[in-house]
Amino acid sequence: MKRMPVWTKNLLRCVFFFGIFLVMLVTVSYILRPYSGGASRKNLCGFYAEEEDSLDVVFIGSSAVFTYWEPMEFWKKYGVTSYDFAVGTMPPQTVKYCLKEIQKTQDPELYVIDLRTFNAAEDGYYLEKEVMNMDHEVPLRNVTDNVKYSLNRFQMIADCVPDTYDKLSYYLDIVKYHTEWLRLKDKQSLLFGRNETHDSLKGFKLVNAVKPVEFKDYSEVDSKRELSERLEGILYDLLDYCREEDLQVLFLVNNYCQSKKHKEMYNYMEGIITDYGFGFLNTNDFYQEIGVDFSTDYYDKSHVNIYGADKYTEFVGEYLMDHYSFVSKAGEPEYASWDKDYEVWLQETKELKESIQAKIDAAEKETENP
Amino acid sequence: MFLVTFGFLVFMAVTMAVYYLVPGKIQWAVLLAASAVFYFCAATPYTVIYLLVTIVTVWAGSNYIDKVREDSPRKAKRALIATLLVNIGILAALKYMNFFISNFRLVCQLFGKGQEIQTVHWAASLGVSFYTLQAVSYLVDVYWGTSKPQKNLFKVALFTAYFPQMSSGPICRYQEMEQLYAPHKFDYQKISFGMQRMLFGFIKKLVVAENLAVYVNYIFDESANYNGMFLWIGLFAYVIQLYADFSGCMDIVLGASECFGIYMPENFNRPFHSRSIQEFWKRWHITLGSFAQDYIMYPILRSRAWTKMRKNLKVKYGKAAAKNVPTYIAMMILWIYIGIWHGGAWNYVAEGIWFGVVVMLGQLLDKQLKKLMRLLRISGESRWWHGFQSFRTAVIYGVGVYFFRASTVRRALHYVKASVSPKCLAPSNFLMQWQVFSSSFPVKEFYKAMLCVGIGFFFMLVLTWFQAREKSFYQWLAGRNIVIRWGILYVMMFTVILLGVYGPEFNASQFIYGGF
Repeated sequence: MKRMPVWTKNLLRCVFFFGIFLVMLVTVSYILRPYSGGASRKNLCGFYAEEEDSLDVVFIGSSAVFTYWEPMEFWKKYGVTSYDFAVGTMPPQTVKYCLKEIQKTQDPELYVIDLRTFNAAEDGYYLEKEVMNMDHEVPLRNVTDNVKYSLNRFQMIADCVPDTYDKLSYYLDIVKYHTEWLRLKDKQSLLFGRNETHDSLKGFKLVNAVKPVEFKDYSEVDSKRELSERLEGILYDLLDYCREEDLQVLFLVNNYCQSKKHKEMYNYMEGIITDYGFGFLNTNDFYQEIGVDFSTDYYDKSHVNIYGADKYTEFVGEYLMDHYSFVSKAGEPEYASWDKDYEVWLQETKELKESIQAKIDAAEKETENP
Repeated sequence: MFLVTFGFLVFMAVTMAVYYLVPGKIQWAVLLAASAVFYFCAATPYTVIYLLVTIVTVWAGSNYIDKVREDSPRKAKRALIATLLVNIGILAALKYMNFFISNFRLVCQLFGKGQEIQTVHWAASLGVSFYTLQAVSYLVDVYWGTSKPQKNLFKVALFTAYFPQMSSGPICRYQEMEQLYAPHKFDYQKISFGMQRMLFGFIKKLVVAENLAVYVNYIFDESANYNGMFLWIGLFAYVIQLYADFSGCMDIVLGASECFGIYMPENFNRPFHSRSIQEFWKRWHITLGSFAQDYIMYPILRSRAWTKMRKNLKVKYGKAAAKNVPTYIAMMILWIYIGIWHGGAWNYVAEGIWFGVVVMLGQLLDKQLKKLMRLLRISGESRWWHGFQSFRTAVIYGVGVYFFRASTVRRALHYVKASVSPKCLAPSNFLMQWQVFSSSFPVKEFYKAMLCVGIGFFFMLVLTWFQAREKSFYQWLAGRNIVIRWGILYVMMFTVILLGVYGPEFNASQFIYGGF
C-alpha cells in the first residue's frame, strides 16, 4: 500500500488537532454562558432541543412573548405546536436574524413577531432602574450570547453590534465569560454544553407575581406617529426579508397598558405591514373580548401573569385558528412528548396559580381590613 | 496590533500562509510587508517617520562607512558619528527630552527662573529603544569591519523593523539576523515548536503576570498602608510578575519568529538560578546587557582617555588601582546606561547605580568572602549555598526593582525603609495588614487569582526543569504518544483561555517592557 505523503499527514494532523480544539472551545463556551435562571438562555436552548420541523407556530420577541403566549395550552386545545423564541429585551434589529435562526431547523406555518420590541427600542429598556437603548450590551447579548455559533450569528453581530464595541467578545463570547468557571458549582450550567436543553414550558416563563394596573383605553385612537428613521429602516428590512422568503407572518401587539404614543406608533406600523400583505393584530383593541381583569391579570404594567396569559392565549389562539390553517398533531406518536410536557406544565402552573391566588386573596383581605 | 490579541494570531496565520506559499527568494519581502502592516497598525502614523529616518540613515551610513573605511578612516569615523547622532538624537529626543527639560527647569529655578519652561508631549515611536540599539550595533559593526553592509535598503528596513521584535526586543546583531534573507522551507516541527513556545508565552503573560498584576498594583498603589513582610510579599510578587511578563513576551516573540524559521537570540536563561547579581544580568535581558558591554563598556575601556587614566593611576597608586579604578568607572557608566535605558527618570538612574554598586562591592569583597567561607567550612558547590546565593541575588534584584517600580527615588526609598524597619517586620503588623487588605480587597477574587497564578507557575516550573537539564520540553513532548501530546497541549491552551486575564473587563494589556 502506498504511504501517505508527509505533508498530507501533517495537514490531517493539524485539521484534527484544531478541529477537536474547536469542538472543545465551543462546548466550554456554551457552558460558560451566563445562566442566572432567566428566561433567555432557557428559551433559546430549549428551542434548539426541539425536533426538526416539529413546530407549527413560532413567536419571536421579548418578555412580551414569553410571559404571554402559553404554547402548552395551545397544544392542549388545538393540537398545534408552538414555541416562544423570546429573550428579554430583544432588540428589533436582531429579529431578522432570529427568523433566520429559526428557519435553520424549523419550517413553521406561521411566524408571530412581537411589535413591542419596536416601541421598547424607541423608549429604551428599563432594567434595574437603568434605561438602555437598543444598542446597549445587555439586550444585544441576550440574543447573541444565547444563539449557537454559526454564520448567521456572525452576520447578526457584524450588522447589529456597533463597531465601537469590542466585537471579538461578541463573536467569541468566551472572551467575556472565560472567568465564569467558578460559577460551575451550580451544575445547571453543565447541561448547556451543546446549547440545547429540553424546555417543557416551550419558552414560557412562569412569574410568581401580581399587581393591579391602571388601564386607559386608546383603541379608538387612529392618528399615527412616525417611527425614527432607523427603526423604520429596520422594519422595512424585516418586511423585505419576510417577503423574499415567502413567510407567513403575523405582527402582534400584546395587551398591556399602552400609551397613546405607542398606539399611534402601532397604527403607523400597521399601515406599512398591511401594505406588505402581512397580518397585524393589536390585542389592546380587544381587551374586553379577552376579558382582562386589570386587578389580577398583570404583574406590572407591561406584562401579564399566568391568569392574564391564559386569557391572552385563549383569545390569540382562537384568532390564529380562525385566520390560519393548521393540522392538529394531537395523538400522533411523534408528538407524545408534548403530552408529557403538558403534564409538567399543568403541575407547574397549578402551583403558580395557587401561589398567585393566595397573594390576590391576601391583598383583598388587606383592602377589606386595612 | 498587540502580541496577546486575537488579531495578532490571525495576523500570524495569514503571514505564515503567504510566507510559505511564495518562493524562498522573496520570503523576506513578505516579512517586510508584514512588518509594515504591523507597524502601521500598532504605531501612530507620524512615528513611522522616525523609523523611516532610522532605516534610510542606517542604510546610507553603513554603505558609506564601508566604502571609505579603509581608504579614509577619518571620513568613516565622521560618518559613523553623524549617523549615530541622528539616531541616538531621535531616541534621546523622544524618550529623554522631558527628563532633560524638567532637570533644566529645576536648575533654572535655583536662579529664580524657568517657570515658563514646559515639558513636551511627543509620542515615542513603537520599539524605538530596541531598533535604535540594533541600528547602532549594526553601524558600529560595519565601522569595525565585523559586518558587511547590506546594500539593499529594503533588507535594512526588515532588519530594523522585523515585526515580532518591534515591541519588546530582543536586541539582535546584524550577523544573527542575516537568516532573515535566506529561504526557509516549511518545517512542520519548527512551526509546531514555535507555536508551543508562543503558548508558554501566553501562559506566562496572561495567566501568571496579569493575575499577579491586580494584587501587585493594589499593594503598591496603596503603599502608604503596607510595609514590612506585606511589602516584601508584594515585591516578590512583582518580581515574578515582571519575569513572567517579560519572559512571556519573549517566548511569544521568539516563538512567532521560529514559525518563520528565524531564530533570534535568547533574552532569558533562568535568571533566578544566578549566584550573583553580575550573573543575574547575564541571564536577564541578555541582549541588552551584552549590547551595553560590547558597545559601551569595552569601547570605553579601549579608549584613549581610559588608557591615559590607567597610566596615571599606575604611576600614582600602583598596579591594582590602575587595573580596577578605570574598570569600575566604565562599569558604573554601563550600569547607569542600563538604568536610564528603561526611561528618563532619576529612579531608573538610581536603579542602575544600585546594581553597579552591588556588582562592584561583590568584586571588591570577593577575596574576603572566599576566605570567610573557608573559615566557616562552607562549600561553594553545596546545594544549600547555591540556594542561599540565589535567594540573596533575588533580594538584591528586588531592592533594585523598588526603583524600577516606584515613580520617584523618594518613593523607592520609602519602600526600602518600609520593608526593613524592625517595627514593620513584626508578625503582629503583618496580621494587622492582612486584615486591612482582606477588608478592602475582594479576597475571593484574590484567592481565585492566586489559584490561576499557581497553575500558570507550575507550567513555568516545568519549563525551567527542562531548561536546567538542558533538555527541550518541546522535543520531549514530540516524543510522547498522540493522546499525551495533544492532551498536554489542550490543557495548556485551556489554561490560557480559562485562567488568563483578557477580554472586555481587562484593559491593562501592556507588556511592562513594551513601554521601552
